[in-house]
Parts: sequence; C-alpha cells; structure tokens
Amino acid sequence: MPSTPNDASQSADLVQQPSDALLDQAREREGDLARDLEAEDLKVTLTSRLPSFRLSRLILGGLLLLGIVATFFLLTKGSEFCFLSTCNDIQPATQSTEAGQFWAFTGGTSTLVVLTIFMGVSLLPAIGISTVIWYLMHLSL
Amino acid sequence: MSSLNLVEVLQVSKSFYKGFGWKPILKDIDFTICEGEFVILRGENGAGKSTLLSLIMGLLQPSSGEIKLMNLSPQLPESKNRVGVVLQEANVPKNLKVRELIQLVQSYYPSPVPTEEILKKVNLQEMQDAWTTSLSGGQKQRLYFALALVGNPELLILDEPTRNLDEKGYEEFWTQIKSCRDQEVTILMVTNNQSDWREIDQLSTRTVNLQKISEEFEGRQLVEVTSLTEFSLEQNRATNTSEKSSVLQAQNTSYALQEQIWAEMLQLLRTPGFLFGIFLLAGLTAILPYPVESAKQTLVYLSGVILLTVAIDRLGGRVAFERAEGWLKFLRTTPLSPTTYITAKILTTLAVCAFSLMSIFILAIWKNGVQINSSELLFISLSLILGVIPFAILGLGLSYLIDPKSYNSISAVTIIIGLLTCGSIPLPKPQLSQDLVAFSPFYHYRQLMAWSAGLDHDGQLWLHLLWLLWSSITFGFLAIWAYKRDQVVL
Repeated sequence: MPSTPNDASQSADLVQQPSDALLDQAREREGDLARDLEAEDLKVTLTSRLPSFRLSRLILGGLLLLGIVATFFLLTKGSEFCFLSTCNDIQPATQSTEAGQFWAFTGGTSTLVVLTIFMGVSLLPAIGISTVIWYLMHLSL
Repeated sequence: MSSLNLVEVLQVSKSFYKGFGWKPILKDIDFTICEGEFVILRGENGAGKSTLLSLIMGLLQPSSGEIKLMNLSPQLPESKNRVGVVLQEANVPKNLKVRELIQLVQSYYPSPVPTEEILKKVNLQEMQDAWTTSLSGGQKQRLYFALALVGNPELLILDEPTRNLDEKGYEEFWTQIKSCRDQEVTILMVTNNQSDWREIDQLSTRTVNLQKISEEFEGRQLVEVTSLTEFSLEQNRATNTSEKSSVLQAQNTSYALQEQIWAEMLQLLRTPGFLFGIFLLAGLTAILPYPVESAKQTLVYLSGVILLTVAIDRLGGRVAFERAEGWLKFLRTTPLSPTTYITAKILTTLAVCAFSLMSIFILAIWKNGVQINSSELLFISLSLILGVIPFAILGLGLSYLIDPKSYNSISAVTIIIGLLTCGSIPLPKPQLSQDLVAFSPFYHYRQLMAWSAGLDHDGQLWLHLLWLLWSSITFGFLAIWAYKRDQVVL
C-alpha cells in the first residue's frame, strides 16, 4: 500500500531535512515492516504469457511458410522454371565472362565492405564508389 | 482507482536477461503520484530509478504488474498529451536549429506553449537560430527543459535535470520549477545532485527512496521516506478539475505529420554525405560508358540498385541513427504516434526514391541517348518503387533489431547478399546454389524490373509479385516484432 502525502506529513517534526539520519530511521521502520512480512513471496513473477504468444507466432509463421511454398509450386507447375533441378543456368553466360563477372563483383563488394565496415563511410556514397570499381573491372576483365 | 492519480505503479516488477539468467531490477513496486505533488525519487546507482521512469513513460514494458499514466496505458501516445520529460541520456537531431526543433516538438501536442514564450522561459532567445550541435552543455540542458515544457504539461518527469547546468542555468531552472509549482504542475524528479537539496527542501512534497536489489536484499524495495512540506490531498482536489481534462484532447495528426515531413526534408538537405551519394549514383548513369545495345538494361538494373540502397539507407538508416542518438527514445515520451513517425519517414523515402529515379533517367536520356518514352518511364519507375517496398521494410526491421551503430555494415552486407542472389552474378557449382537463388526476394525484384522494362525475363510475373508480397508480410512481422522487442530490452 503506498503511503499518501498525508501519512508522511504526520511526522512533520522529522521532515525538515532529508538527512542521512532520517533516511536511516525510515529504513529501520521499513525493515521492521519487512520482517513482519517475512513469509510474503517476493520472487519476481515473470510473465507467463510467452508460451501462448510463441504458439500463435509459430502457427502464423507456419501458415506464412505454407503460403509461400504453395505459391511457388502452384505457379511454377508446368513451366520450365529452374527450381531444385539440373536445368540451365539462370543467367547463361560464357565461361570467360563468368570469371570476369566474378572478379568484378568481388572487387565491388570488397570495396563496399572496406568502406562501410572498416572506414565507416555512409552506405550511399560507399555504394556509389563500389559501383564505379565494379563497373571499371567489368569493362576491363 | 482515483482519477487524481497521474501515475499509478501497481505491483510492478522488471527483470533484464543478463549472462545466463534474469536479473531483477525492480520487485513488486507500488507507487502513486497525485495531482499537485512534487516527488523526489532517490537511490544509489543501479537501484533502478531510470528503469522505473522508463516504465512510467512507456519506454519499457514491465515483466509483471500494471502501470497507468494519466489513467491510461503509458504505451498509448494520448497518455503523454500533458506530460513533459527531461531524459538523462538523449540527443537532439544535429541538423536542426533550436527554433525548428521547438516548433517540431510543439506540433506533437494538442495545446502547446508558443515558441517565443518557451524560448523566453528557458532564456534561449539569442540562440534560437543556432544549430543544436553548437549549444554548450548547459544550453543543451535548457533546450531539453524547453522541450519538456513545450506541451504545457500537467506532469513533469525529470531525470537528473540539473546535470551540466552552469550557475546561471541552475538558477533559471529552479525559477522555472518554482513557476511550475505555482501553476500546480505535478513533478516527478530523479536527482543525486547534492546542491539540489536546498531547493528540494522548500518545494517537494515527498521523497521516495529506491533500494538496490542484491543477494542480501530483503523487505520492500521502495521506501516512502518523508514528506518535506505540508501537502493536502483534499486541498488539491478542490483546485484541480477544470483544465486537467485535456489528456484525451485530440492531437492534430495531420499537422504533426506535416511538421515531421518538413523536419525530415530539412535534415536530408543538410546531410552532405547523403546528397553526395545520390548525385554520385545518379551521375554514374551519365558518366559510365556502356554499350548502346545494353543501355536500357544497364540503366534499369543500376536504378534498381540505387533505389534499393536509398530505401534501406533512408528508412532503416535514419531510424537506426535516431535510435543510437537517443532521439527516438525522447520521441516515445511525446504524444507523437509511431504511425505518424513511420509515415513521415516512408513518404520522405518515396520522395527521395522518385527524385533519384527522375535524375537518373533524365541524365541517361540526355547524355547517353537511351531510347525510352514517358509512359514506359512511368511504368518502370512505379515497378521499381513498388518492388523495393519489402526491402525498405526489411531495413526498418533491422534498424530496431540490431545495434544501431552496426546498421551501416549490416545493410552493406544485405545489399551484397542481394546482388549475389539476384540472379545476375554467376554462382559456383553445384547447381543447387543457383537453384536456391529462386528463393531470394532480390531475384524476384530483378525479374520484376526486367519485365517492366521489356527485357529478358522468365515470364513468371505473378510468382514474382506474390513472392515480393510474401516477403513484405514476413519482413513486416519482423519489423513489428523488433519494434516490440525494443521496448522490452531497451
């Protein structure tokens, strides 16, 4: 039960200074009260709502996943779309171009990683500089 | 439950997960603040004073128990219509001037105090056109106090408000507090500053001591120590009825949104790095030499990458930055609703995306002679902007989920993954790695771009649209979960 200002004002002679002695007195008084309430359970009650939330989230997540997979299979049925098969590459390219593209991509992404992670450059200018590097490598390789 | 209680904390406990278990910070706290009171909250470092204030302001959710602010849940923005707050750790936006910032915060409240009056109250008239970053520590503290007073508060919550104040600022602060007391403003203040006690002796009605929980801890954690001045609840009851019913007064949402967008645009135009990035990326389409036969393809794909970067950087990046600075924390203590805040960010991002695309296409058509008519241009632009929505939501989710200081690096890695899985880059064997690309939303975005521009694509338009829709929903759930989690572990 929280004490009201009126309760506290009853001890007006004690309240002119927020001294340490006063604090000690109050602590002693509260300590007595606390001993009286020794048997009271002071354990923290953590929320018990988590399991039900988890269950509803799992159901929701499951339905979402089901919907995604169903969409994929329904819409790719009968088509020549490459999915978990050994059909042709998504982006047909000659062997030499692949190597060039790979190195250009590596150069661009490495620049991006160095600029953002190691040098703290903002994302937008870092992407701009990386794109220049990638494009120059792409043209030269 | 009394309607005179502005704050009610009922059997509230709060624990944080640290190491290998839950560490209790607050245990079964019962605490009320009535109208007209001036309550001092004391306690040693780590006792949970700031945690208790965060719970009262709705910045955190309690592990158990119930909290009411103005008889409403503190999670509701309306509960803060007549509450002013000075936080211990908060920074204001860097690219705004003092007056602009005060006007922005004014727009959140239903009955704000005029700007001139606020500036005069805190003696910042001469600094009204100064950048917030140029203020000294004492001036900044005065600005924080001005932001707390701007909504004409009925309740002031002050966390170490006299920290950093110089002698003059200190005197002015207590003059203002006395003025607030004369106007019967209720105050809850945390202070460990010894020099405050002289003033507190004269003004406060109650001191509450919060004890730190330790292994030996027994008894009640919160001890009502003393009443320092005579305070009559009955007396106060008679005087506080007329003006105090404005808690539920409607906030002018459209005005708040308009001011929020204006502030976003101002900050954007005053961020040289961002503008440089936009112009650099847009300029690339005009400067880089690419073959005429693949000009349209290069232009569209480059636009896609630019838009992806702008969306992730502008939306999630801004939220992460404001979270790191503590500005987002301050906003949560105001009546500004999260919806208005996010809507302003989304609209600004869309405007930036549209501007970037326009610049890219104009430069490409003018410099490189790319053949593309206006209706085709509009169609491609719409497809690009719609297709980028899931990734903007992903950025928003990441901004709440990860350490704000790591956002830049994580978003860079996300873009690399996007490029790797969009289907443009030949992946190494086995074939499975290439097949898995079809699961990546980035692949579907690329196919949508190709379709809108009439380039080679796989003909599965509905699949790509649905996949992007599923991605939006999934990332949306992630963003909502991350936002709620932020209130638990803040």
